[in-house]
Amino acid sequence: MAKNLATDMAPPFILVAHYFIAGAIFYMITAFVLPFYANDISGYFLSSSIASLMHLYLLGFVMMVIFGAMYQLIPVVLEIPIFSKDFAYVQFYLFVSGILIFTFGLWDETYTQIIPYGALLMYLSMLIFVANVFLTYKNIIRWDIVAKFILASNLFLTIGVTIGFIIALSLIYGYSVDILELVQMHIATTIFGYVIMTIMGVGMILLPMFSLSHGFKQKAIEMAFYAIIIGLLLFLIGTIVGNDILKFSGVFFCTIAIFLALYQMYLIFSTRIRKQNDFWAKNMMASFVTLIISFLMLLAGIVTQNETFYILFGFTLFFGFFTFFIVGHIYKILPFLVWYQRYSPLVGKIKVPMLNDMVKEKVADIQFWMTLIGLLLAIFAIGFKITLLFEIGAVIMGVGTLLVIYNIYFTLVYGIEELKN
Amino acid sequence: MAVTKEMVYDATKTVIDPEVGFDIYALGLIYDAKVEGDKAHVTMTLSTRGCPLHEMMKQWTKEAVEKIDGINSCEVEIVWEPEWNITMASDEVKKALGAL
Repeated sequence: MAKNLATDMAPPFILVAHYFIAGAIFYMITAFVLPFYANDISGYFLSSSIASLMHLYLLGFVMMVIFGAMYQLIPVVLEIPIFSKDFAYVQFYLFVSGILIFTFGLWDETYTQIIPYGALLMYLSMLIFVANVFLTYKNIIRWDIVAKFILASNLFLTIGVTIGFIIALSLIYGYSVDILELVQMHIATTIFGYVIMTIMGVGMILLPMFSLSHGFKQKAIEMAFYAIIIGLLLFLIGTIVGNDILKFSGVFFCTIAIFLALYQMYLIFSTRIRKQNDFWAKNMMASFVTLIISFLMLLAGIVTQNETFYILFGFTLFFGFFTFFIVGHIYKILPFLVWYQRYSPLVGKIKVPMLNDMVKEKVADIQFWMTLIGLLLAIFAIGFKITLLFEIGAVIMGVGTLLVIYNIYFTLVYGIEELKN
Repeated sequence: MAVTKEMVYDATKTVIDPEVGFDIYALGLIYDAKVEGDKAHVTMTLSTRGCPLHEMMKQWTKEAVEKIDGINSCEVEIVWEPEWNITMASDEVKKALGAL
């Protein structure tokens, strides 16, 4: 029998709000600096400049929001409370300080000596997060596909951040390791192993919930779960032993997993009851399309060995798939959290708003198109190395970001004045 | 006057799902209601199993039914069989969600 999910088990609103607000700030910082990366983005894939941008965005926005959302979703999805809320606060402050120090060290070459300190803070914060998740799993009752995805993704995160920490130390202390191999394993385990696997797992709860889908089969996502694990293990082993066949088999299995997951999303969407293409649905569709584009770029990169395709893969995955998926869900999860905190005690006493009232729909709609148009221009600009076009695209995406921030603010302050009176 | 099943159904019409914007009766989430003396028993479902409002919906339904004159306590049971689907909702809901 499930306990009181929404009250006893879920963390306090203020905890999740920490992560969402910090995520929004890092999203805004990325939007401001992105146009200045026009020259770097057409350069070498593994430059320190691109590493600073990607870490700022992936850690500051993508993973920050995911961590906050996981603290809210794990108790709801797994029907068990988070092991420690205090751990979550400690993790937050270590994580934010770590990101700031680490990305600044990568960005300004005169401060590279601070990189290991930032990396250490982030490493500790991640270890606290995974420990919190693993200790939470001690009490798990229901082992469904979502629970399996979350557990596996956190195991890969542990491996990924450990490799990341070794890379950071190697950059400064010059250990005799192959940095390129470590970077490949770091990218595979953190982006595919953690972020993408987490999205695949929680997507199985969030997508049917918000689209009111029922009666779809889950075989595709179950196969995707095993395919991505096999793929990642083959890739890691292939990299360690220096066997390209194993590495390519790993990429192949991961690609199969992504397309199986996309097919699962299609099955969910084809049985959806909510047919309106609101801002959430548009964001989801754009996220799936950009995921397909990014993978086509990855495959093109592997076939042609052209660096530009790898940059296009990373850019489309980060600023397309991750952005649309996360922004779409911020519009759903944040209003719920604010509504729950502010209005749920008043149900039956006063007229309470609907969750959709707490998002400026028109602004969200304009934001969606700005982000999409800006992204397409930037992708085109990277492909054809047109600096000015990249700057224009990045600025348009930045306007989209500001509109997201406006909507987050609108939701956070919704009803405060009215309830005072 | 004895409390009827219809009066319990009417009470559930005051409980609104804030995500969808319709009451839980119109959504077809109420499966059954029984009244024995001053006690009511409502059998209902939710549109999705991982709904974060699970316990709140249950509580709101209980409170709404207990407001009926003649009802002192209401037990709300959440069931997952049969699984909810849109055909259980009213035409107004189906139309608004684009399912009609």
